[in-house]
Amino acid sequence: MVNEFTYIILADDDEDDRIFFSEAFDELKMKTKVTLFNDGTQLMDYLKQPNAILPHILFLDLNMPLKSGIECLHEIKANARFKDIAIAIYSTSASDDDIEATFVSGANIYIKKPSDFGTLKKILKDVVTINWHYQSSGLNKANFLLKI
Amino acid sequence: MKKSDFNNPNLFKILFIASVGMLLFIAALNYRHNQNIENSTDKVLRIHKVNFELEKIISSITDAQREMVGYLLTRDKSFLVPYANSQKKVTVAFKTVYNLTAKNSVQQKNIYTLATLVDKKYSNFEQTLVYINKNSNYSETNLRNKIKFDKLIMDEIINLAEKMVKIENSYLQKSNSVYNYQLFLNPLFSIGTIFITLFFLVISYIKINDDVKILQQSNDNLLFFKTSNDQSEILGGYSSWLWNLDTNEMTFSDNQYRLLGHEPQSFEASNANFLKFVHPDDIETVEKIIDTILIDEDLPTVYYRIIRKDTKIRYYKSVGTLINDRFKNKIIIGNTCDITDERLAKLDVEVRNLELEQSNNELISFNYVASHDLQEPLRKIQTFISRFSAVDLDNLSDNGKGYFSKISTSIARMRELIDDLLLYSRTSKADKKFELFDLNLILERTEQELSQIITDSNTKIISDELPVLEIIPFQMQQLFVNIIGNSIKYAKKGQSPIVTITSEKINAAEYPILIKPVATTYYKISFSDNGIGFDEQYAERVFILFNRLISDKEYHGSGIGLTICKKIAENHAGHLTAQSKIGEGATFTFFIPIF
Repeated sequence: MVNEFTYIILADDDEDDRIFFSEAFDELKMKTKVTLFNDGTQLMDYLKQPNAILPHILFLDLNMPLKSGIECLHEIKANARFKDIAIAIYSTSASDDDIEATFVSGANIYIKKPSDFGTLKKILKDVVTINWHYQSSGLNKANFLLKI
Repeated sequence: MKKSDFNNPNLFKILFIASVGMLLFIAALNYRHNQNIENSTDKVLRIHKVNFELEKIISSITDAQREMVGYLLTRDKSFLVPYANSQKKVTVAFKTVYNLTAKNSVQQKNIYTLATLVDKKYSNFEQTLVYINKNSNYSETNLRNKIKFDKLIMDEIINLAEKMVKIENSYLQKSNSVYNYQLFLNPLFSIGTIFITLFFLVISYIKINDDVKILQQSNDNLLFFKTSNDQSEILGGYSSWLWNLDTNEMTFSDNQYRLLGHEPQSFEASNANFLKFVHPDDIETVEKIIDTILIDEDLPTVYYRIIRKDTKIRYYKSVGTLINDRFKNKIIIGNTCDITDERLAKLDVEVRNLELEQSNNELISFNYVASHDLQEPLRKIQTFISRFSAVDLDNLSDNGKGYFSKISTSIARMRELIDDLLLYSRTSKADKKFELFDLNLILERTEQELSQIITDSNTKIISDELPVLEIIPFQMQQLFVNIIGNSIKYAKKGQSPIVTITSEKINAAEYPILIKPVATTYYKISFSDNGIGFDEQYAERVFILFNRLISDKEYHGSGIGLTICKKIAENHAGHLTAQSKIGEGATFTFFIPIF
């Protein structure tokens, strides 16, 4: 496990956010491999390939063209092949409705995009180092929204 | 109206039958009485006739005797003519008497005896006559004997005749007494029954008279109600109608015609004539309802349109009830109301409401979208700033560093404004979930949320035991956070803030500030601080959006916090007020109704 990479995917239509995301991981210098997708369709097309390397953690933006984050979430949760992927919602909004909907649909954590690069790095580091099995088993609404 | 007095046809039946019975009884009595009188008269006549005939017999015999005496004295044969006649007369008289007394055996016997005596007498006459004519040697003695014998018979005859007359007279007397008795009794009966009948008739008359009075009064009342109803129908824009389901006859009130744009009673009231007015689009509905009436015998409320004579479309509402009249006819009593004005007003209000709701929703979503979408570029600017200041800030000149710092502050301020605006628009959203919640817990969570600045400012919060209330918890926490946060923010320099929270139950009537109380009792929760305070005359302005009383940079704020609090108070049907004096702290009082 020590030498293994953590595979990470981000699906986000915002180019700036994708840059912040990958730069943050570059600076964190953790053993991670980050793949970026521009929208939900691209993401799902990739995941559905039989030989695709499934990520350990999938970061999903909610507001995307063609296929929204919540649609991707539903498709992933409906497919047993993806049951081990931890899903982190990564959104500008932190509206109660979105939080409620993604929680009910089975997302593991909800991250509100921060407005500070340092904070972003801290969040991503925390999320990658979370013991996901523990997080999944103790899933509840109170700790669903990640607070830094 | 006393129904029991009025509706008693049985009493009248009984009285009528009794009266008829009485009258028949009197008639029968009178008939019998007349019959009796006739019988008695016949009887008396007969008796008189008998007496008369007996007298006639006596007188005939007496005549015969007198003639005989005359003959004996004179030997003149002319005396003998009446004698012969007398015998004939006597025979006729006897026959008459015999017939008259046919039913009386005693008198018949007497007549028989009398006839024998009379025969004896006549034979004696004959013998005497023969004796005188044939016997020249008659002796004075013999003749005397014959005459003496004749006298004896005559005496006997008279005696017997008198006896018979006496008997007849006795009958007469008896008959008279019976007759008199009847004559006395019958009128008594008649008068009695007449009086009783009269009594019944008088009672009937009084009763009928009373009923007629009640009827007249009812008639007057009906007239009054009808007039009043006609007027109300005109005022209220409604009408009434009757529909006899058995005869299919209809009656429309005057106003029914007016509602249709016609003169009262200007055409025949009928179903077909009414349907002519119904709007073509509604005719199916109305016909269906009419079928329903015929099957279910009841008319549910029905809404439809009609086209008036002047071609104007009006909205109608009709309702009906089935009743049975006293002929067991099924009658629908219906009312129709012209609800056009009401309907149009309602439509108008509905349209306005919809517009209002739409514009309100647009405002909320605009607010939400604006603040939400504004966050996106702002967040990026802030992230770029953080990237820039971490990496390239040192390359700038001091001036540049100063400008950059100002950019950073402005962005932060903009972000704060947008966050608060978003919060405000969320507070305005309609989805409010009330639950029974402990305010002490709300305070505890508030202290957690504000723990950093509470510690930094060394704030003391002193609170009464707070109640458990029906609230929207996250909104209530927002209210606590904003008010307590304000107290900490506007603290006096160099003085630890102290926030005192008090709670009490109050009577709404004692607080005129609660203009239209929705409950009789409220909880009054006051937050008092020892901060810088503000001028009381601006107390209402603190609640207005973006309105700030302090421009001092030391006390930065968005001017939204208290507006949100006010909104939250309103969401709880409550009221939020502020009291303060410059330099003496501020008190925010939250009134929340107890239902």
